Amino acid sequence: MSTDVAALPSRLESLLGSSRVTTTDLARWAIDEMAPRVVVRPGDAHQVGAVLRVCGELGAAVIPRGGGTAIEVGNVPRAADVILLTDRLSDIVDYDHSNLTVTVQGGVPLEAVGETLAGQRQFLPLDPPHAEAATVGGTAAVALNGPRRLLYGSVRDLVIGVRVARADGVNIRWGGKTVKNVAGYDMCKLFVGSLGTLGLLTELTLKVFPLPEASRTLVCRNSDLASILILSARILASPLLPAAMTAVDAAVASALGPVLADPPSPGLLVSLTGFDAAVARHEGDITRWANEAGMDVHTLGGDAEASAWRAVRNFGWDGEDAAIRLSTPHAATLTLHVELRAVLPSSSGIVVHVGSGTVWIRLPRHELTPDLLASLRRLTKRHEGHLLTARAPRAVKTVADVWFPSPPALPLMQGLKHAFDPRDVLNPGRFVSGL
Amino acid sequence: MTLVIPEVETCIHCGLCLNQCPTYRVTHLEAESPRGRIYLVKAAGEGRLELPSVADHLYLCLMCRACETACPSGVQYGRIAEAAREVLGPPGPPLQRWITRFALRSLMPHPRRLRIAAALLRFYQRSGLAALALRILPRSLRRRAALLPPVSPAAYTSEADVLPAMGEKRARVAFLSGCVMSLFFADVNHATVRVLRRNGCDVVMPRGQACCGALNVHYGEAASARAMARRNIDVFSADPNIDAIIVNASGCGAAMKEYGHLLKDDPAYRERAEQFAAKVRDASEFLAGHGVRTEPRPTATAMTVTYQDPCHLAHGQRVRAEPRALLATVPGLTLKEMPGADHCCGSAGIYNILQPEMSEVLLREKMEAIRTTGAQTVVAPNPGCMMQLRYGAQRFGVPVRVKHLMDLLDETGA
Amino acid sequence: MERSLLIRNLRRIVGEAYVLHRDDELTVYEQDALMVARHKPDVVVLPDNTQQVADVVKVAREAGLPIVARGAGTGLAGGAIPEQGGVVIALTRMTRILDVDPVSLIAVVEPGLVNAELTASLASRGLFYAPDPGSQVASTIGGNVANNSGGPHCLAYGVTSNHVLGMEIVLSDGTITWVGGRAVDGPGYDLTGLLVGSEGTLGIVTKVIVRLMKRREAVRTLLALYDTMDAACEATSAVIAAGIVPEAMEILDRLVMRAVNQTLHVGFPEDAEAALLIDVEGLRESVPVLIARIEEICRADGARRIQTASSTEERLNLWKGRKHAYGAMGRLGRRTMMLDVCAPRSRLPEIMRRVLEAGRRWNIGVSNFFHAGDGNLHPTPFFDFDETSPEYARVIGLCEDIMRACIEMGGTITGEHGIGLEKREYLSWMLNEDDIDSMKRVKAVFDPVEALNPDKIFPAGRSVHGSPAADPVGAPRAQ
Repeated sequence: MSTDVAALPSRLESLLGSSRVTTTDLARWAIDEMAPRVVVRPGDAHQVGAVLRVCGELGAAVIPRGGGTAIEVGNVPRAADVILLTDRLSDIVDYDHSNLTVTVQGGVPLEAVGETLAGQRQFLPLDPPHAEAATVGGTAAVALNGPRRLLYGSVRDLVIGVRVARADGVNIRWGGKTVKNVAGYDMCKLFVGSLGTLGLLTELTLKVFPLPEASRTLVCRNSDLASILILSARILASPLLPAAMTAVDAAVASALGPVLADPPSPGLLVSLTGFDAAVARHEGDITRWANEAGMDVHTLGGDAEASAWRAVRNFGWDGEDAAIRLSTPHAATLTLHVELRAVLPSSSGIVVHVGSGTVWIRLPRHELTPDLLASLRRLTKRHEGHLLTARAPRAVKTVADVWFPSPPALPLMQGLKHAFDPRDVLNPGRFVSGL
Repeated sequence: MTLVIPEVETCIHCGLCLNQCPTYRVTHLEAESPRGRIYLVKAAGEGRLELPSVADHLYLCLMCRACETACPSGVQYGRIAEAAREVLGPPGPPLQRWITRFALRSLMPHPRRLRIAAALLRFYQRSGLAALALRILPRSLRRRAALLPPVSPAAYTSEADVLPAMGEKRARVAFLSGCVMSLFFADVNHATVRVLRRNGCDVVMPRGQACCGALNVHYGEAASARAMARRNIDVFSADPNIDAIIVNASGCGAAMKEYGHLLKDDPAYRERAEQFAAKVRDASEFLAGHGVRTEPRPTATAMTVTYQDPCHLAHGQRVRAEPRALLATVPGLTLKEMPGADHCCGSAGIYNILQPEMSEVLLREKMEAIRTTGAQTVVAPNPGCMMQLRYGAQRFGVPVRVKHLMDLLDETGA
Repeated sequence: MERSLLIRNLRRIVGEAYVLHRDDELTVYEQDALMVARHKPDVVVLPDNTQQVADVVKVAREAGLPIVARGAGTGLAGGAIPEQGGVVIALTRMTRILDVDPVSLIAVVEPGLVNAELTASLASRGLFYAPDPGSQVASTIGGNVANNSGGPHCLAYGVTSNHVLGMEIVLSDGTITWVGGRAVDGPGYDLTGLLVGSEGTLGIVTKVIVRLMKRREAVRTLLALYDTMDAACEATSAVIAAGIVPEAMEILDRLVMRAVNQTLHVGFPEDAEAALLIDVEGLRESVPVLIARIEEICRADGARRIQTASSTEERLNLWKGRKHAYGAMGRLGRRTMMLDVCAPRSRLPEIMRRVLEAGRRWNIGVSNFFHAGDGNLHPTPFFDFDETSPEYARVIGLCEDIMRACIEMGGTITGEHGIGLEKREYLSWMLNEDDIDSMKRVKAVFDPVEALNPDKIFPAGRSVHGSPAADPVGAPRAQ
């Protein structure tokens, strides 16, 4: 395959106009220390397709970028010639509040959707890290889910229609405004979570939910994480239906606001949503069980509640931290923390999203050694789970694939990558096992 | 005769009957499901299949009619299968067909010949012959021979043509003594009559009544079945002041409730058959409707009982609640439902003799279900079920006694 | 491969009893629940485990025969009809529950397990498997996966795709592989999501990892009766617009209620034109509040009467009536042609008016029972002629009118039954060439030789309805 990337800037300028093409100050857009040659801002799906087609012709690699909140997730790319910003794909195309669906272009920020939906007392329960700055398209492409997936489902469960710019520049669509659809293969599932390696999500239709009447968060604190997790197991086994439930260890607690920080102790945050009577029932039951176990219970509402959950969501995603996500069948998470403590450095912290089998680990970059990764991989294998080294220095990424283990159906995935992006234009090498 | 049966058109192939069918659950084969069987009959009717190739599948069917209970379209599978069997004739290799035909045509319709046969059977059982047979018969026949229950010491006979009610008279009913009941369960007949009388019924015993003809209909001998039906209609309509015709064998009850359909092409009997059928009641149906009085007893024995829905009572006649309501009137009795109470036990008339393997598989499942209830007694208001379950208790080591509902009610003072 | 050799090879794998090759044995596999087409397979095989499935696939490939997987054969789109003959692999013997993890809320099951039996086996643990298609007393988990089955309660709980975490599959070359797993957010492309609803064209499912749910503490069932279908539809839209999402919200019309009463003795009231059947589940504190609000809304839209099921028996009875409604259509006509269209629920009253109009226009009786809450309609024309009659064109005209109307409103031609054989020529009404090309690329990755369930889903240029393939000029413009 010949590459003629020198011709990129001029070809792209003639496509988009020079104001939408940047060739200066490129270092700030670097991915894994690889600066691009050009940054583009296409204005609509048609232009996105055109950009991809041109890049394919010229043998250039394209890295799509939304809010940039999860842009670092992935293996080191084989090349990173073009950064494609989606910020101009910013229309809310259709909001049908009585159908409980919203259709947005890929570059629409989650916050903007939230504001629009709030006007009809509805919301979109997507809470990835840095949701304040994330886009819908980016969130769907990376599919990092947040604590609210416990009650509301993951991003893959919420997307019911997509328009995609394929790597060859052709625009396709599947699905729409109906929550049920089996007209052919469920192409939404193919593209959601594909890290933009098969096509770029230019438009998405998602299910939305009515805002609950009441909302509060309970914080149950104790001196040890084990008893916190036992309480969470009790809640899960009961008829109660919390919206989110996260256990945090003492190291994390200090970041979550005064309630947990003084003194820093492990705690369980339980988000309660629903009718007043239902929320009161949750509060009553959980408080009683917590007290029985010798824990104290505080209630958070309003801003304090929002900021606590923001801290939980963004855990590991600030500054120069390294962040690792460990996913296992839920039952394992109740005792996983013990095994983790045995291998993790004391400078690390963990949060456990109870009920969804997801543990996030934060640690200083320099502590993320190959040996530690090897221990974590062993642990992961023992529990039939998988590991994502979401934030790590380039040196670590080059040694080991960011995703572990390699999925058994990798050949099929490679086939799909080859079928949809034969020229390896989109995020080449960044996805699982170098897809 | 061709196999064109219009009722097959009511089946729209939805498949909801599949998992309710005992033979489909065992084999997982579409051809052994009600939908499959109907489809085969249809295909044969259209000339796409040869009749004999359809026969095996049709005769593996228990005729339990669980599919009719399940069918949302109201397909009358029983009628389709009976019509098909009428064309096909009895199942099996030529010798078996001949024996079956002989038994159905020359034995069943004739009460006196049945009594002679029973007497011979009694002799065979009481002398050493039965024990000898069980030793020398080949294995396949041995099991079937072992299934034969002991013939009653004396065939059921009534002391009088009419037995009066004990206490206040509330109804006048006729009683079908039945061939199997009379010969093998005479004591249950006596118990049934007693319970009826104690609950205010004058019980009429029409003389000259015949076997109801159920087996004949099921095994392709519809012509002789019609003759037996006509005879019973004549005999039972001799007394016009009957409120109900009581049956304590569910196969007979189901068959007699369908006399109207059996004689639909007979202008002389059609209407009388409908009237006759409209009066037929299972004993439990009648008693639950009328209310059963229980005599107070000084001590009520506590017992845990489970209930087997006979197929022809639950599916054939849709009588499920009444027997349970009657059990609830017995002091000290706890009813523990078994899983799949209305799943066929595998008796199905003479099916257990003709299809012993399938019958045994179903019986094993049934005995397991009974075992899980921990009940000491299983109530099965049908002779075929009773014989099968007693055999099953022995064969699979489940320590449970098998009683007819009427017998239990009689015992406990109803 | 010569036929007797084929049979011998297959017998070596599954045993003689489970290779069906006689005329009568094959005839019963020529249809599923779609009655307007029938094709006999060359042979039917019933394997007992994954390795047998894989070995059978290899033999079929060697013989150059297509392969059609089949569950209970309750599919309404002809997905299990072997149009090209070949080997039907019936998974009905593979019914085991291999593992239940009640803490992680996961079970691993074989594809031939009947949906209702899975839920029944979980009852003692207070758990259930949420997708509850009307066919659940007979349909299998594997079949549900192939069709992405829904059901009344998927309004709140989601469809099959939201409850499948992973699968073991056999590919068209006999390779056995796993997709997904017991932990969520697995690495790589969501092949599990792609396979659910792929109608047996990408792989044969041999094990399924399913997500389980806890039984809710309280449940109430409401039946609201209306004098017009319009009012019932308005009420549905109003409930959703009020921000209430019940666990199930179904509509039945008078024809259906009468038919079901006759066969199943459900006891639906027969004096209402349409009834709205609603299930609300949740905490005992929430349910009464929700019910009260729903009642208020229903009344505001003119419910002439609202009754609440007062016992579990009554509730189960009402739901049985709804779930078995399709079967009861056999009382209305010799044949039916149940549609499975969807429209956004904000336009439910409008689409239902179009349905009734279409029935009048083509002079065909249409009954309606459907998942009002998620806009998934099942207009069911019934008639006494069959597909060989010239009158049949009226049925097709009716169906096409309704499908067209739904697409115009941003809906779909199939919500849960699948494209199968029945609707493949209409796929191009929904999707353009590029969209279909993308799907064909997926197919080519999984099954390059097109051995698995050939000529399903994708247009083949010949309609199963005997009429010419849908005329592109008459096709609605996909949005």
